Amino acid sequence: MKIARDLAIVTLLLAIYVIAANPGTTGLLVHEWGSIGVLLVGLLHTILHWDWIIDTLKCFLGKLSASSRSNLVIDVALFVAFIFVFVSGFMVSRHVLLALGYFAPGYFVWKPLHLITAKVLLALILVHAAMHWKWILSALRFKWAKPRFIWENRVEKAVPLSGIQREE
Amino acid sequence: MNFVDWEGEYALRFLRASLLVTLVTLVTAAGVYLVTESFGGMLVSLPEKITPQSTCPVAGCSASSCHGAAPAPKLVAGQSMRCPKGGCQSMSCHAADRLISHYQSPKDASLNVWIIGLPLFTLAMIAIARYA
Repeated sequence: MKIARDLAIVTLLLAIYVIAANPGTTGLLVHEWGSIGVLLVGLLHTILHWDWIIDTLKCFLGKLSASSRSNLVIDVALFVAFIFVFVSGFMVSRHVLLALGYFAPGYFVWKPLHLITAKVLLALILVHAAMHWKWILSALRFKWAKPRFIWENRVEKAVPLSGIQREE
Repeated sequence: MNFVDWEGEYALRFLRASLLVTLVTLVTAAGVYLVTESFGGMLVSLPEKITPQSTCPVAGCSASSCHGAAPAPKLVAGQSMRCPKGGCQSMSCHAADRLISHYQSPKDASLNVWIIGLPLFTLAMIAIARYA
């Protein structure tokens, strides 16, 4: 259940991001409101892994595996890059700010910052996905694995052969 | 964090994590603004309410007939427009293409398509080779 939930959230996050991160294709309206969707789902993703973040932070300077340490560093960088992209995007937004009745000066400061940090964010997302590649593959296998059954002594009781137990 | 058993302790942990993540996000966003303001100087300020007297946030223009984010119109007598980047009001602008083309518009060929496209293509190839 937990794997299915995490997989669903990550898939939703990736789908909204791919749509929102291509304003040249999908348009500014979708880009701006879609980015708010990315923010909300991204924060939910962070909240659901908050325990891991706190546990890893507590052990960061002590005994901790290299993979956990590098994961945390990438995740923190990813979070900061995302906030940079979101704040700069909010300040140059044409639809969201206008809908609120506001405008923000400094377009030629925020715009280059938005473009640069968006590229950094994209690179970090790819690194983040690559570092969790094994989890993604095992989660996909788990999602689509079909349990095999045998009949045992004519008793109508299914016994799973594989080690994978599907949780309902 | 397992929210399968959505009761007592788990709900409390979820709420606590939500509050902390929101707080961290707001503090980071404030930090981003302050860092940018320290580099951007006078150009950067907090969002302002749009009023009839507001100048264009991009071009600094206060003409009553706003062209929005479309290409800037030719100025008529009595009107002037300040270059949003250089602060210049000369009629012979050396970067006129910036104004008369477009701003606040996405580039036609976003680089993101290519950066995302390549890994997705690679993943699709691996998936096809492995599972097909």
